[in-house]
Amino acid sequence: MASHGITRRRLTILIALDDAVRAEHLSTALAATDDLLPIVAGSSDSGDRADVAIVDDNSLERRDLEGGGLEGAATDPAIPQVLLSQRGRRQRPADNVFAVLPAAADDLLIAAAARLAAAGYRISGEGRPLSDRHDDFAFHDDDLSDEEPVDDRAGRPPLSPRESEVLALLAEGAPNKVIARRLNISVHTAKFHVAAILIKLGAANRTDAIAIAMRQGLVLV
Amino acid sequence: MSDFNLSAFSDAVADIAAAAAPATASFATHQHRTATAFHWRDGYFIAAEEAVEAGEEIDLTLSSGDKVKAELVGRDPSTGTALLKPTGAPDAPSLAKAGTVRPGHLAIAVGNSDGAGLAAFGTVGEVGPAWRSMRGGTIDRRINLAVNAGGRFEGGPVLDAKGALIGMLLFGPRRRALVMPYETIERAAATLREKGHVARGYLGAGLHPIRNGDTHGAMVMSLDDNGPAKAAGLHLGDIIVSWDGEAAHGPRELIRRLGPDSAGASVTLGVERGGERRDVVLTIGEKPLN
Repeated sequence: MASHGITRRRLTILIALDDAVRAEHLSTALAATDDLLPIVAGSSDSGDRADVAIVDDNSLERRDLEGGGLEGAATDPAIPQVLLSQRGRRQRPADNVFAVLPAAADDLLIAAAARLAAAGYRISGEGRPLSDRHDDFAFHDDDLSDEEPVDDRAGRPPLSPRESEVLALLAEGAPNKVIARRLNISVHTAKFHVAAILIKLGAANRTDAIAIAMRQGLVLV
Repeated sequence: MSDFNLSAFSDAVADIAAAAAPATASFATHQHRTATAFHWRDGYFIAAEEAVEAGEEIDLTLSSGDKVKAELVGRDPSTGTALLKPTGAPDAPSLAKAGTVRPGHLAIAVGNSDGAGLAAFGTVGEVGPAWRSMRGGTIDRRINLAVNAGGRFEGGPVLDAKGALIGMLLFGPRRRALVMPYETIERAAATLREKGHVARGYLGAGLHPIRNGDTHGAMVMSLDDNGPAKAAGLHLGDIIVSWDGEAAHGPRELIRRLGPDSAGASVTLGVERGGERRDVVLTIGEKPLN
């Protein structure tokens, strides 16, 4: 079941992206979940108070320039924001940015980030961009951040028991279909758990998630 | 320079890209972009492992523009290689293996995006001996490219001046383009075709990086009751600090040594327990590397 205790009512997600096509696409994807209610900024009902706003570099910048002109509810600094960014994060994101994802992040990943942000979790790890990790083919050790420092996970929510089960199956190479069958859940729910795991571990993809989990003692080496 | 003809040179590069184009295909990654795959042989295609979504059927767009369904035969994260088998038998050429390359040799990266051909051109930047990837794969040669190729080229063929295949384009740290060499792909593809996966060495221990004074190592956090670490007498709280006499500073370095060819080997782990050093001899087990 997708709604597993994070929230009961549907979360209102304000989508304030420059790319209208992407915004529509994301809106459709979020609407297909049973716990998220997407609203595209600028549409008639965008005045409602949103739980989370999904913004991009441009919509964020325009708001900074115009001193709070971002459509509708996202101007409210109390609303947690999920930033889809095309830039490497050199600067610390603003306080109300709870998560920074790559611009091309998967819709499920964005949904998972929105849920966690709504629940008050910050998931933008210091100096660990969530995308473009290609550490597997590092030749020089100085290409790598050192062993994950122990406090690397301090700001990250721990995996739920169910997510730990999913992670163990992921590490055995099980595709979503097999995970669903083994845990007696739907494929959709399996995907949902996988997306949450990626977010929580700060992983770019499944392979990366397993590599990170192996280095942190979450998966047997 | 008198007999150098710039436009003939330009055409020669474009001809090489055009000749390879029918071998390439395109697919959508889970990140809303396209990546490249290319025909290996016998109707099997090669792609970058990290670009391929797990367990899903893949829609390949061939250079003809035709779309075909492809099955993911298997993936090898240790070499970044995924093997795809499209339904039917797409009529695609196989690329010949390139000879030895040296720094400065021309390198042409070829890609495919929704059927459209892509090409980028530069040089081989660096060539070195065999090395090990973070997931323990033996990479036969170290080939870095001085080629400005974007994400859509990932998994595409990299060709030499004769149009022969040096290997597959992948990205390393900081998105530097590198080549997974032909012979490494050949090995991975053969294993994936036979077994559907590659193996990894297995200790059966959950490990966490630890630093205690001058000691850097991997602390045993959990043990598989039926795993090699338990059988060899490792305990929770033990800190693994060396591997066959060489320092191992944490899980990352141990994982790097537990590649596909480590299974079944005997290794002497240096272990700290209660402030005392001891050696533990262990036979490495085997798990599928997904």
